[in-house]
Amino acid sequence: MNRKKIFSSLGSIIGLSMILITFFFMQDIRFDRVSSIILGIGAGILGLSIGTFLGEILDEENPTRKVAMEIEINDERNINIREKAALKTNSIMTYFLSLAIIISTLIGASKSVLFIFIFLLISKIIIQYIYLNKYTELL
Amino acid sequence: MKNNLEVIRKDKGFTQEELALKLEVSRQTISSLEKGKYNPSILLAFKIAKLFNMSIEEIFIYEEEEK
Repeated sequence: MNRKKIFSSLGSIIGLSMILITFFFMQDIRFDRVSSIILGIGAGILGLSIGTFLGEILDEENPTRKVAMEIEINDERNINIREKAALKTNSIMTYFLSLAIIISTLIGASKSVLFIFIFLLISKIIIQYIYLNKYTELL
Repeated sequence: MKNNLEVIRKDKGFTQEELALKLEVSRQTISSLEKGKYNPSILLAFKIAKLFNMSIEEIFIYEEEEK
């Protein structure tokens, strides 16, 4: 059994355990919010693990599928497309965030909401600046 | 940039799928290259040239963009 299969099996067990815990041990109203979070994370881990496990089985049965998948991922045109799409999305999200800040100011949203939007926008600018410097030195 | 990839590929008896597999790129990349929609990286251009035992200039024709 390869590493991916072992990790996905473990993930399935952990995810399923988390779901079962919320159903059998966290029915009390006191755990309402916590149990929802645990249930959500558990379902996410279980789904992802099952998907990975099934993917590995398919790869073993059909090795050409794995090669084709790797080619699709590493294909230079696909990488270019992904990078361009990410760049465009990033610019659009900056406008959306700025718009969200303006709208939340106009409608008098709470300061915590406004703070989150401003924090996100500033973080985005800082992260962009860090990576810009990194790649300027690297390339 | 223009190229003779389609002519050379057909001349050598490759399908797009076979060429893609040999170059470890997707079939869509070969199709885009042949249509002139996508310009390859220098690495891919060298790989193509090496595979066909030709020089890059024989396959890809550089054209200066009109200003």
